[in-house]
Amino acid sequence: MLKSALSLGSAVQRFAFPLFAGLAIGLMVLSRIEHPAVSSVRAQAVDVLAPVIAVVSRPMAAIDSGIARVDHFFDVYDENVALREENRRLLHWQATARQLDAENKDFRELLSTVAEPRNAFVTARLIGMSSGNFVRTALINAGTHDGIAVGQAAVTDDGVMGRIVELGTRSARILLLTDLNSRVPVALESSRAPAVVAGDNSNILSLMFVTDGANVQIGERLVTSGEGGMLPPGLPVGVVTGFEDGIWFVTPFVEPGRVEFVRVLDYALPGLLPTTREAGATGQLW
Amino acid sequence: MDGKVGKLRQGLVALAPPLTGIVLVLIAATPLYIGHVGQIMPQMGVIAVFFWVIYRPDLMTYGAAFAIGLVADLVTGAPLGVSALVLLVLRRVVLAQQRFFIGKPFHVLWSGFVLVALPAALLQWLLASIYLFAGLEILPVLLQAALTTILFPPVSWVLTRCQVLLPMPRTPLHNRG
Repeated sequence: MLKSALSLGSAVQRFAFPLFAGLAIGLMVLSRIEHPAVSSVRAQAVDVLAPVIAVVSRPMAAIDSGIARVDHFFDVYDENVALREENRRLLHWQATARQLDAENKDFRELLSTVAEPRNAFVTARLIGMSSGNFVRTALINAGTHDGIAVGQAAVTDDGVMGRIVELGTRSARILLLTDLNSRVPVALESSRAPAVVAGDNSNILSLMFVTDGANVQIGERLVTSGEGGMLPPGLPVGVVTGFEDGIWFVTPFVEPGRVEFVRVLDYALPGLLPTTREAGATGQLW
Repeated sequence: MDGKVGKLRQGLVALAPPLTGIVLVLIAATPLYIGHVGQIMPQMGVIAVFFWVIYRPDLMTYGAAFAIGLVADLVTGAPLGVSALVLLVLRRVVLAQQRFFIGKPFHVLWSGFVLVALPAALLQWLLASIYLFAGLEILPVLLQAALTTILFPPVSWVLTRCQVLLPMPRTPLHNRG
């Protein structure tokens, strides 16, 4: 009796490898062909795991901020000097901005410009980060329950971080700008010439589809152009930092590893544009 | 009553290796930015499977390895099945060498780990490259294997603390798996 049970167990074990390997390959094929079941199972599973990840991430975040504090301690003096200098400059900019704002308001009234839709937003905590070599995404602890939808922009104080690509009820996945599948329409800040920034799973983005005659220079800032209706126009994306083999390289303003909270913007232009799901390609993770 | 408690206890023991593996995978997925390591993630699943296959192959089954890999893929947003397949292959390879490692000093175990961590990272890189149909950069993969190797001693120290809590299997280990 015992012996036959043991031999049954070992038979199962013998076939376990091909069985599970086949299962793994099957799952890869299913997610490659973007089978809807895969993404819904994934979203639901992440929903279940999200609270666990959130709990596990707390001590890690504490360690992280402890290290950051020690790090900061050493350059407190230099930072102070730099901040005073920056403060002086910013006060000057504040005066200029106020003046421009008032002027802008006057011009808008003169021209009777249509008001742009205001952005509603949801603030969420970053609970997971896949900084693997193959995919650059982040998990947040808010989902459909909080009014988040696929395609919405995730931003921080520094600028755009990415876009929502996968949704659960209480969790959502952000496709970071640096992911291989990320393409964001941008405009050069100085000339407003359109282009696209593309990720390649490294920390640097590349600038694509730059119009002929656009005068790109190192130090040029890029903002979202608002084309395609995916992201609100004018959000800071990154700065051009290099040129090699005919490609401009862009360093994103947002360093995802340093982010704790993100704002997810609801930039809806009702009736004007198809939803991201209908628009297809750009909203898909895989 | 006693039988039920015993069964519950057995179940918990059987679940310990996959659960520790899953917790490690979740810890690795938390946002962390230490110094300039930047965005390299250690392969915690590889550490867990390697460790448990050597000390408790009866508990780190193919199913357990598959589950750890699946959770890793779900959490990181990687194509489903990639990490699962890597961990299955890892279990098979390490199981064949399991008897060699039993009772050997730690540095032998660590050296053995180096020999599997790099191929495991490369296999994952290869699978992802085929999947995405793109030549992905290889340097981050090497850094990842290096980071995983560095983390092996502290993580296996923690796992050893868990392992000594588990009752020994009734049949000799090398007959299992």
